[in-house]
Amino acid sequence: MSLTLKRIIMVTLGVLGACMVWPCLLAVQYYQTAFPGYLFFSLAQGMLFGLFFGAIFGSFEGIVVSSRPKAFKGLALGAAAGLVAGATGVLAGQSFLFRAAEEILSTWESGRDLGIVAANGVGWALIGLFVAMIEGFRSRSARKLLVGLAGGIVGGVMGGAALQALLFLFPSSQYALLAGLVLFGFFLSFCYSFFENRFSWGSVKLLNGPLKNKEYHLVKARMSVGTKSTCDIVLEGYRDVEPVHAWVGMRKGRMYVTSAQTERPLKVNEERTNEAQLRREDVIAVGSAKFMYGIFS
Amino acid sequence: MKKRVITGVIALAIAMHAAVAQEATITQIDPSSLLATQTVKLYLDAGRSSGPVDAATLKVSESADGVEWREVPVRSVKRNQNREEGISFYLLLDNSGSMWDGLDGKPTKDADATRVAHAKRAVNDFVSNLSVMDRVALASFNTNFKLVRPMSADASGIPSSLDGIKKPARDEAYTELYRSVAQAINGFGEDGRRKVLIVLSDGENFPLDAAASLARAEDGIDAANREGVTCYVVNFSESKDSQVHRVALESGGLVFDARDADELAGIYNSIRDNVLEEYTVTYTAAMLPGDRRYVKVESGGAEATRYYFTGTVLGSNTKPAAWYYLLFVCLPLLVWLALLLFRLERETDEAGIQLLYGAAGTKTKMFTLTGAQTVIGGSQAADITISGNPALKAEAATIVFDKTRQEYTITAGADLTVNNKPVKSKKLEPGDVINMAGTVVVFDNPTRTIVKGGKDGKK
Repeated sequence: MSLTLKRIIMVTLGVLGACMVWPCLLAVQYYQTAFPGYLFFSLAQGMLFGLFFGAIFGSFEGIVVSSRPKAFKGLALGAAAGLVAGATGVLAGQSFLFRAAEEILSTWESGRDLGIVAANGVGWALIGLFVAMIEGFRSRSARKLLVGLAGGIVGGVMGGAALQALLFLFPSSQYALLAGLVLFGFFLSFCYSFFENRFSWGSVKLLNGPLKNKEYHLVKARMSVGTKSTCDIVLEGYRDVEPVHAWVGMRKGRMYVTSAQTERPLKVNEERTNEAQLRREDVIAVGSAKFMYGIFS
Repeated sequence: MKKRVITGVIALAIAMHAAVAQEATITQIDPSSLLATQTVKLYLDAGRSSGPVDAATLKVSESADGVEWREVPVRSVKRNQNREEGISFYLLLDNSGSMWDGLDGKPTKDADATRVAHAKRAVNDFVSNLSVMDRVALASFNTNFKLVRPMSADASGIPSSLDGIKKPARDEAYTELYRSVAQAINGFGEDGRRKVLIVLSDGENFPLDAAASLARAEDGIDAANREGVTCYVVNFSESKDSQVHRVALESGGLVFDARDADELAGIYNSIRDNVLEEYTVTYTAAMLPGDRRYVKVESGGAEATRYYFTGTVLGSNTKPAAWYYLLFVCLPLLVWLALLLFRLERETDEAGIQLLYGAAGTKTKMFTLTGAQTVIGGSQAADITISGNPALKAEAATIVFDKTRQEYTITAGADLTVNNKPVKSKKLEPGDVINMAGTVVVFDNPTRTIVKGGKDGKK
């Protein structure tokens, strides 16, 4: 799978998440008066927001590696992490808006509405930040947290500005929120995908079999390879592959592949090995699956 | 006699204000605890309210539109809380050219007789009477706004700071009143105290470039309401701005006229006394949609209204759910399922080689191996021609298919590597990487790869 296709899938997922969260948010907002206070109102909206975006982004990894169990597991874990991240993000954003909006607005000698856009934009950046970091929490990867941090802030600011601009131009339209959320989902996922590529240490490309041409970005410090759905690279439909067969990871600035010490061998450039430092165009054989290490995208 | 005049002027001003402001005034709203505890604190100048002002007699209502009101529970009503918590005062002094004239508006050579000298004496007198709990900031304005001393609990430096206010040059001598008021309101910061801005000016808003200046009195009113600042305006000449009094009255403040330093000092101290007498009301806010929340306080026949900001980061909605909302959940779910079920990659169904890297600009391409023998090279005579690489020999490699064993073997026509190892001849396995003078291809063959859990089970 090329980087472009991967980005298209990521962006599609972001847009799908936005579409799903829109009616749910409207429904909660309609019942605003039934909430005991802004705290619970913000928590409910944040949890809904995080639930959908977390679930949909959590399933991304499973979809791109064509592993359904991994996708469903990611969906569940992403939803759970999303509940917390969304609630935290919206609370942070709302808290900022309440506390700082008035401060920011009063600095504008004219155009206070634009001040609201700016204050909300920062609020959305906070939401985007927490939502984009869900994948990092889910996969317990500091590197992915960093990707989420960068992608979330940039995507959140861009998406939040677009959303607020639409709400500013069409204040009474519910579809402005929909369009804004779609743009938010688009920017968030695009920026996440962009930074994932920027932060990756290269990639491995599958050269044969049912997942031929699929590329895996090496973003985590240690990525597992095997048939288990919990592996980062899931090799379904390949001969002689162990549940956890090998690890690919970065150590002291160098990329290594390490055998999980199974009966079935790990080979690099046709030679059996327990551990080998990888160089560009090295061919790694895990059972019948063959990868090439490099920077393809 | 002089004191009686001062008292009379102040009493008149307060009385006029009370009449305009419907007898009671919400001087400041502090919604900083709204998100955490759903409570709002407001400061109330009860004015001519008859009878006691307490939680039992005070009625607080909120509205999203200023029309339909909902009564909200009052948690506490306290008097003199400003005395315990302290007050943040922001003193904004006019330093335009006319402030360096005498009290009669005519130029004077006596520095002590100028309006600005009177103003400095009044400010010195005022800060010397502040409580240790109070904070004070000082700024001057003419064509430009200048922060002389930032908000601080230490007022001891104010006298020397006042000495630093010098006569402006000709092009700096204008009166940017509205813009300076808005800037001062922004200078309070967030400390949870009562915020009071005292503006002293001897003239009208008179910017250097009136056409270019966008500042209006409304900006000051909005900023004061949003920032929770009460603005007091002291006119120090016969000439008065026609709009700045609105900033004072609509932010819960007062307008005064003063003629000399004694009157000024009396006014400054009277403002402080007035603020100290205010009530602090804490109540539980209602849950209403919208960015603006109106508050109405009724007590003993007196009434006051004001608004504060309640916008939510995810917006608000007053329309009920429609049937098609369901589509926005179901359709994306179907697309998600389609993405999950549709495999974007699939195994090759025929033997072949795939070009990975070639000459610059060469795209990844698949060549099928159909015959018993396939020659790969740079010449047009080869069975598979890979152009663009001058280093690639005309017949760089030959792949031979053994029908009996169903095996492919590569034979080198020039230097080549398979999986980064130099070879002359080698039986090919699916996924083998062949490098011919920098042109890299991958061999693949469907019959050799899948079995375990695979669908075709070709082996």
